[in-house]
Amino acid sequence: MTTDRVTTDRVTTETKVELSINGRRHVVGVEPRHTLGDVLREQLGLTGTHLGCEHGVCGACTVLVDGEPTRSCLVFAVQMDQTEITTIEGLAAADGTLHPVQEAFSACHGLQCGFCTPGFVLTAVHLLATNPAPDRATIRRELSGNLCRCTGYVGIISAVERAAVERAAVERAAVERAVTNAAAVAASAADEPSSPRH
Amino acid sequence: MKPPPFDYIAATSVEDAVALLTDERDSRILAGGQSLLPILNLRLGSPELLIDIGRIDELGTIELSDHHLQIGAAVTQQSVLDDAGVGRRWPLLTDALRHIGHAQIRNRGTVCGSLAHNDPQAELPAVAMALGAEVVARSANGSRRVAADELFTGPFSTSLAPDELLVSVEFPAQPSGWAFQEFAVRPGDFALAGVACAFDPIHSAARVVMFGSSGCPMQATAVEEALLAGAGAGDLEQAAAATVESLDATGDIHASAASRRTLMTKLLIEAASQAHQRARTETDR
Repeated sequence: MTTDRVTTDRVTTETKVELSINGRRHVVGVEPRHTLGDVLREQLGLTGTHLGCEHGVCGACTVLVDGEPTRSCLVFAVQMDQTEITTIEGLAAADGTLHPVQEAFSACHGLQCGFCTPGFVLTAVHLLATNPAPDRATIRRELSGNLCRCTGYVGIISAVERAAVERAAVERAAVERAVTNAAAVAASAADEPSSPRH
Repeated sequence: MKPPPFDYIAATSVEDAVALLTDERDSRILAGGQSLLPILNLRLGSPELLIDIGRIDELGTIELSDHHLQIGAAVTQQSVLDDAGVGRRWPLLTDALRHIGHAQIRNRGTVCGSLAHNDPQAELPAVAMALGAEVVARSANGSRRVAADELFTGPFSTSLAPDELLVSVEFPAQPSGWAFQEFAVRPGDFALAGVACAFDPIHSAARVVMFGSSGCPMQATAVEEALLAGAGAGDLEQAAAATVESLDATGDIHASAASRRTLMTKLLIEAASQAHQRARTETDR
């Protein structure tokens, strides 16, 4: 850089940013021109984030920034200081058990080559977090920012629908268990002689 | 592709940002970056300095009363879309926001950034003109207000000076008659044609603004007159056809100029009828 054009001492050629990625804190030195997607892939080795078009059309690079779907090719890493980021690597459990949305994509043939899948899955995770029972039209609309060139989308829509249905079933079962347990506790409490409470 | 190198400064206040704009280097404001980053990634532009205004607290607020809405330069499209008060009183704006890109884009993209960028296919410049919005432009020398009508000068161009920062946009109360119509091939795609319409029968005021088909949002004055004259079906058709005849429509791989004119004719008629209908329903209450 030529010094005669510099008018401030705050010129940034490389800067440190603090990112919390999948619950782990990272401090990385980045150039201003590095996008979040570049930093995830090239500096942190998180290559599950796929960069497709790099101008905001394909959605493959979608990650969650503070819970919101964001195209990682359309934000610079320097802008992301102090944010919480979830990438596809952050969804499965520590023992490798897939996230229910990932499981549903597998079960419904919601992927073929897999390039677009991380973006789809993260967008779907956010959709189900904000709308637990979307219909197929809603799913289609909400996923319209992600392109897939293999599946024809039908399997993807079915996967998200299935994940929603299964999650509802799991939650219903949990409620039923809780109700049964509460009834059992109440029944056994009625059998026992009452004791003074403090 | 990857962006060319540039310097980056996160401005800490509006004063700081406008002082940085006097820098000799070719500088650009970075707010949401959802239009700027594609430009940089495709190397269509290579500014020397990016001034990030995304972390300036005073630019991150939405202020609204019954008759007035002010949106700061760092406010994202999604947060305006999610604001129930805006949805109740400025449904035209909310409806237009739904058509902008996808959630991934709206979560970062800003309302003011869209105005300052003035993409010919963008929804918000047309909405700003339809509603008679004003923007506040700040420079190191002070601040001035610019009416939306005076702001948009051509494709990707505005009347803002290179050292001015668009700090906020202000919308007056929205009239009871309104409509937003747009045609895009898929949800979230750029519009091939679109119309924003605001109609106030009480004050005999109508604004019909076209976007998406030519270089800059444009008023459809003949349709406005037909709307004020009672929006007779024949009158609207005639006015829309006359308006579109003089429209310098773009022809490209997405649609021919003739297709865009046909779409625009249909959208003008639909928008004007819908705005007229809504105003009547509102008056009947």
